[in-house]
Amino acid sequence: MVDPAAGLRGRHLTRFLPDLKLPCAHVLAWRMALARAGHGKTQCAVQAQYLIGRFPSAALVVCVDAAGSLDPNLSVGDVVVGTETVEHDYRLLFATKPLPRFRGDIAALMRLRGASAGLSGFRIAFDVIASGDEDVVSSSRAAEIQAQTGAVCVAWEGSGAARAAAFNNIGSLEIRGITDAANKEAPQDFHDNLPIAMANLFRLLEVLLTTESRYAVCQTSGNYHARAPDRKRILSARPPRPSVRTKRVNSTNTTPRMIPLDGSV
Amino acid sequence: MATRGIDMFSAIAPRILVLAPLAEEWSILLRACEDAI
Repeated sequence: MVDPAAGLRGRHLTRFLPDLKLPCAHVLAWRMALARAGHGKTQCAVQAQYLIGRFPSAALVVCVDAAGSLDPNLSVGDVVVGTETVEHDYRLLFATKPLPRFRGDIAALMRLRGASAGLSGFRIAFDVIASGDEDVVSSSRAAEIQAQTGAVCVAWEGSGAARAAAFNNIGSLEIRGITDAANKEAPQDFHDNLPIAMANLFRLLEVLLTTESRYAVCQTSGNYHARAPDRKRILSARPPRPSVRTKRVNSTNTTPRMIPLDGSV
Repeated sequence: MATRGIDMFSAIAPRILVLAPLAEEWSILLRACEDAI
């Protein structure tokens, strides 16, 4: 274990933040705070909210850890980047509503897709991640969650972090390294495979952090030429228009408001 | 000077919050960060 009281480390570019309520290191080179967020969705959301409050500069929350695979194409050491995080243990019985879903930050996903192409040695999947406070240790339960959510892996805290980020209008992303197949061998496999899963996850995280810090520099320096292609890709990745025919309405708001032509609102 | 101080802080303030739920995973990632930079 790392001793949080040990002070500056890593060529003096990483410093612990001693005045926080939880262990947190600030990696200056990447403008990144690495925090221990607590076990389970609720604790993670509470601590994420606390950190967002302490760091108003935060523009992206990234939840990282291990996961159990729900997809036979994924192997130990593969890494899943969540295009969506679905809360699988939200059991609403008084009404019929879809499960809560949280989209991964589109801009970060786009940059990560491009930047991660050079990584090799493990598979990187951009897909749906299921989130819930439950260890999945049987194939039948794994199949149930897969059918319920369409996810390729299952883990715990992602929806908690995503909720806190959404509440503060900032982006979030979940990245998970596969340690097990969410079956009866999962408890042992998790411990055996955690080092390789986290090592591969870090390789991808490093790409994300490097890419994001370059992007932040472009924004700060006003280098519009450098960031223009990103913006173009982000715009082209917008979700499809609604199926209901719409027309533009002029208003004082600079953002065009769309109303359905059939009169429904 | 005060304004300059704020600008200097905002230039290094964390922009990305990476949350690792458990101590073991947090420690692994922290060591990896220190090795990488």
